[in-house]
Amino acid sequence: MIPLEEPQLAAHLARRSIKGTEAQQIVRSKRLADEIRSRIGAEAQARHRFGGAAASWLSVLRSGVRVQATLGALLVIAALAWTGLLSGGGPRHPGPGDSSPGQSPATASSIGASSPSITADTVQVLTEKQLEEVVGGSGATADIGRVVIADVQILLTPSQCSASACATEYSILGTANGRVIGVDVGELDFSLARAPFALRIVAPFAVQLIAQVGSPSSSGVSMTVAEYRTEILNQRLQPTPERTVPIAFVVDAWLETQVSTRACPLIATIPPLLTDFTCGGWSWLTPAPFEWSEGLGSPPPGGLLVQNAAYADFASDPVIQASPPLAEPRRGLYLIAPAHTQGGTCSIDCEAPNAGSVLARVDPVELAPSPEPTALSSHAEMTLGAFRLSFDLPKTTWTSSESITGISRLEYLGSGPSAMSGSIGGPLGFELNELNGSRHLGVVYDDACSIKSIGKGFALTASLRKDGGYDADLPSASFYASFFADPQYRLPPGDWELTAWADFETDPQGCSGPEYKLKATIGIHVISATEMQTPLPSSADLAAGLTYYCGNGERFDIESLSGPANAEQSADPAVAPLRSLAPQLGLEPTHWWSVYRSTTAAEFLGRTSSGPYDYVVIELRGDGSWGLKGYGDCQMQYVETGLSTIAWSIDPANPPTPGTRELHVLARDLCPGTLARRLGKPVIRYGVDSILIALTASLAAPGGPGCGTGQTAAFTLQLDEPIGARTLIDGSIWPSRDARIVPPQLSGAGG
Amino acid sequence: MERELVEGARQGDRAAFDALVRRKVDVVFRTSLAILGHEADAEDATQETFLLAWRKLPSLRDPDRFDAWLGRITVNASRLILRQRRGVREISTDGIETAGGHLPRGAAQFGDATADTDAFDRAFERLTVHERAVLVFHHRDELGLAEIADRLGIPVGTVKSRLHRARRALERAMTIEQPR
Repeated sequence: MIPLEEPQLAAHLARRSIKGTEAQQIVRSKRLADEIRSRIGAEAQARHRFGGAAASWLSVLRSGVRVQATLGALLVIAALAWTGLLSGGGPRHPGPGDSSPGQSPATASSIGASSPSITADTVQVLTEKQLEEVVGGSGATADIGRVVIADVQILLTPSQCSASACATEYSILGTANGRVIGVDVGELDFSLARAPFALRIVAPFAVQLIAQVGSPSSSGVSMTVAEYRTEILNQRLQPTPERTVPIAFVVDAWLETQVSTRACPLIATIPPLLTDFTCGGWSWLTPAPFEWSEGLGSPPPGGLLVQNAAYADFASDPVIQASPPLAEPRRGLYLIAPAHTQGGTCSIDCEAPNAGSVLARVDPVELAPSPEPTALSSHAEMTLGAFRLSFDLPKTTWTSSESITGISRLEYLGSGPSAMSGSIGGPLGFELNELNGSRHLGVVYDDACSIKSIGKGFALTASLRKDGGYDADLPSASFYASFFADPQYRLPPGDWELTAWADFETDPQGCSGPEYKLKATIGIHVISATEMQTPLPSSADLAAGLTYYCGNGERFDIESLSGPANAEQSADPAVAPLRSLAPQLGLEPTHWWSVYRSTTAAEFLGRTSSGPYDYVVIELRGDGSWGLKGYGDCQMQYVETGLSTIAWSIDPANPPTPGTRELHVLARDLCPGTLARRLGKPVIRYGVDSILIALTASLAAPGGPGCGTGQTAAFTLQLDEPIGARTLIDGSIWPSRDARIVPPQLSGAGG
Repeated sequence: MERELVEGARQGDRAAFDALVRRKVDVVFRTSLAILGHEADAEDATQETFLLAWRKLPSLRDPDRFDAWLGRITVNASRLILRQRRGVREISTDGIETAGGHLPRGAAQFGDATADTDAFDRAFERLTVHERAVLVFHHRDELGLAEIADRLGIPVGTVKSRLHRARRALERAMTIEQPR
């Protein structure tokens, strides 16, 4: 054996613990922490949204002392022990015989309850986008007063800055239109992490934070009375020095009241607030409607005592008949904060399992159906305080073979000196998100702190780049790997969101001041390069009668492709070699058109999985048999005798407007200097929703004037009609293509 | 301060847990890297460690034992990753013997140079994850036997024997991996 000295062993193990430079290690640690946070967030989100049976841990508010000021209904109700309601002699603990609201619809209807039928699976946890709609987005009227649950991130953002300090505001960034939703947090001190919050809409684009919402139930955000009490009994909510007030819960229950009034107990030591629980008629949340007996009677089984006024304040359409005194139970989703008790076995405040405070009723909101896709904008921006982030793409429709480009720009709009601190790599980053899919790459910032002095006119720009990381375990890992391996920013077909982010602070001391987060999102549509070459709707009609060929071989009318693609089934003897040879040549065995037939030759075109078309030419041989003459890819070109085909595209430097009659175009040619003079008469066909243009030019002698001066020629075409809203189509090649896309290089010339 | 964070995280405070992650992520990564030897695997193990920690935090009774508890999760996550990623079967080199305890012909003393580094890594990766962990905790982190026992959830006596066995296994593996 080889003996190992201890220092050597320690040195080797220390060496194995280090990878990369110190800076790389910092970046990696930050990235790992971000990814962990993201995964935990996603897991929690999934649990909220899908009601997964994950472990029941809670998200909590911190610094409950300040929370208590807003959650004014939270009480210290030690004296309730006096009533016996919080002891074992009170409402019995939930048992097998207890029914939950979801289990007793028949009972509910027999009592004639008029509450909307809400069940746990109707609890809405809104996204930023949905919240933005509910608070008034898209012209909708904000539903003032309504309480909603939203799984959103509340950001701490500075607003008005003086020379010495910035006032801070809290906000939620909507994702539908990028609107900022102001959040009144009152005295709450809460985690800035993403979480479900209960929010009351107080004005258009303004909400009040009521509480963070716990989701300990296996059925998602809402819980039954029994589940709520179990949580309390499990003491998971026991206050800590840092957190004296727990989060609130959504309880699916019947709210009812015991109409019989009771005088306040003649005990002077009971704090006045306790009369909310002890004087007058009691209110209860119960798992099922309860029929009260005469007088005080017994408390409802499995009930949760809530403040006396809860029924009047929060029951939907409360109905109390005077004689005999009877209140109709009202079922709903009630936001409950635990009430506290003191003494007994608790050395500090602890929650009473049989009492709670109703903070709000959570009603369903009307969510507009997802809007139909609208025209995409290639510009987005957001302004926050003295900063504006803008994001621009040259277009919103790309092919999968194109490199997507874009620029984000962060501008300082203030006039005085300020500072910007944050990641060494800069505050700008880019996020990629697949709509209707799961592929997503977030922004990664390093954890270091760099400080930069800024002043009037300061601006930063960044070109679209790839950010983020991925888990090799993800189903889409192969996509991420190929995406990062590609030196260009290309995406597969689909709908995507590109978001420019700016994340920084303005603390001149560096990275400890209020954080700015700005985002600007642009939706893009990526289509396959093949799809882009699919004939556009009306272009087939516009091209009728035009003659095309495959760069060599025979010419044919484009209408040859309008019939069924089943030439391979024909009894024509020229087809037999096609049928027998296609598989051997790696061609599709079916879906062939016959585009040319003479006594001695036949030409067939077929669609391919990898490109638009293949062609096969069959000839009659001297021995009378039919055999293969040639085959290959077919890039169909418009053809006129003696002229070469000119594929063209719109000059992006001079884009057309609806009124354009003089169209600026670009075309590639070996002798661009003379192309304008050599152009043949263009074929221009005007359709209802498109204009098809096919161009040809006479051949230039190689090495002649105008040759070798670059390959792109710019010239103009005169149109007889203004373009209007019509799409310009290059019909010089087939399938015709959107003329905003740069065409492929063509070969061959019309024979 | 850390205790408060652990307590907050135990109660479900994501911000507190996030703060813990930022404090501990480097330590966990380095431990995972020392055990696994591959950066990507170590990153995966680090993520799994914290995800497991988040899920299991409510079961942590004593916040003061968070480090030891996290260390145990790190080892388990590393073991899991090694099994999942590479499909590697852990084979202890306990049974590898060299005749009479002599060095094989041509084997040099464990010295310096890149070859030795590579040989060490290959030899180390012949050990089981638990053998690797006990060596890392003892020789890199300089933890005592009791602390390692706490971290791995095994008796002190077992740590002692495992440490001895791991050391011998590594030395044997070196005889195989040492360049000749």
